Amino acid sequence: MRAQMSFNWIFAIVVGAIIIFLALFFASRYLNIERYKYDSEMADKLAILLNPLETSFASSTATLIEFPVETRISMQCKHEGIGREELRVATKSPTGDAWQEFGAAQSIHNKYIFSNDIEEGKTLYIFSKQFKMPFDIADLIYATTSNYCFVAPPQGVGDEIRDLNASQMQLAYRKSECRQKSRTVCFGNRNCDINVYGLCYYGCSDLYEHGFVQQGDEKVYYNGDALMYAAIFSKSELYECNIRRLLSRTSMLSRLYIEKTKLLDARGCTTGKLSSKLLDLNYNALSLVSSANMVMLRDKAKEVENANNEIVCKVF
Amino acid sequence: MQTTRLYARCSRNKSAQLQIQETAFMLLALAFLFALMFIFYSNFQVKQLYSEKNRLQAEKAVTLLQKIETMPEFSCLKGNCIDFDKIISIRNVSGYDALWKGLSSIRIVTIYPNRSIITVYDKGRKDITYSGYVPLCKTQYKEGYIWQDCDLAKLLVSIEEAKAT
Repeated sequence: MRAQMSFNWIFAIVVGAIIIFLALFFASRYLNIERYKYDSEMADKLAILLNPLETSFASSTATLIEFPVETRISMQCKHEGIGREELRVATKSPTGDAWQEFGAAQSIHNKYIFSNDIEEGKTLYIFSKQFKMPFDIADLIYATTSNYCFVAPPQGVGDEIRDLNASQMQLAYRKSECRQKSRTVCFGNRNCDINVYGLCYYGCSDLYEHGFVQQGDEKVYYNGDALMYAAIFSKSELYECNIRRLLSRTSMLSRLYIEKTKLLDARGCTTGKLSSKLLDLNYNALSLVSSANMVMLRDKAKEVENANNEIVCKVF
Repeated sequence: MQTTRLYARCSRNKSAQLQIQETAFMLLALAFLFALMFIFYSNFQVKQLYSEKNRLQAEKAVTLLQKIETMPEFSCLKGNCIDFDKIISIRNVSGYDALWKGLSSIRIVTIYPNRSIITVYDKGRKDITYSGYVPLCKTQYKEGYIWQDCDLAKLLVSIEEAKAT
């Protein structure tokens, strides 16, 4: 009787342990899957929320997105053809592992988001600006969870930041006036976390119309305000990748406008040299592989703009 | 005496075996019940997931309706309208299919004064379609005068519907 009782007990304990183990295993798997699903949905929703930002007719707009919990946002870029950005989200959990792996990637083909490769925080500050070459190419989106302090910026940059009224962007005369933990941006000297150098000495209204931005050892070139902000707010790899995507879009739009000039010419509205200038811009946009030669494209874009200004039927 | 003891042990073993068999069958039945419950629950979850995906796709389509109108590939020189020449030209430019990923078609239907359909992109699938009214304008030129000739049109954006296989 004693032997049988002990066998029953052993059997019950073994089976009970297996049941408890399986229950705990499935519960933890279920929680992980639910978190993965939630994070994937967040990425999808975030991508949708960014759509209206691009429909603005204003030259620049700023807004913020508040997350319910501390959130990590990862951005990765692929530049083949028109390219894409992959947005992933991970949310902080009060129980278990605070940070789990990122949710499913949300592929974005028609947006150009400039940020650090991983942004972490509860508030995501978004700022967008039109990029022209010389016609509208796209609205660039700058996304950050950090605070930035612009130290003695040029007049144009200072006015724009003031007009945006974005709480995460501070203007200061001296570096010492910047808020603690904010990333400092200097113009023309290398005392800050991010340093902007202007290279436009001839035929420009502002020294900073084109130049380069240095963050540590990394140096990227820009052309125009929109790309200058992009270089300030993003990691160099993401910046260079998005530049290649933008160049690809520039080439496609140039070809679109070449087709449009043919239609206008057929209607008797001559477009002069514009078509050949657009073709030139297309070849140059396709041949560039990094931001270092952006200034070359700037000259071609000016030629296209002048050719368009000279004709009666404007193409763009 | 020995035979009686042996018989008693055999009968005890038999009843213990029966008890174990009973417990095993009960456990099997329980496992089967849980498996059945899990199948129903996962089916329900998959359906929920697809409906949530479709809801997000619908939101995406509605926001894209506004966005497409202002994209440089569609927008007019001035004002809030679609450029007829651009949508005719875009069909001759390669590489745009990658930009429309996630969408199944973009069409523009002119309503007034004439009715015609211009297909910008079509993946050949029948999915959920959302539409919005837009002016479709064409640059006209005669004897040195330039003007915009506008039609009333409908912009139709179709999105891929997520379906459980």
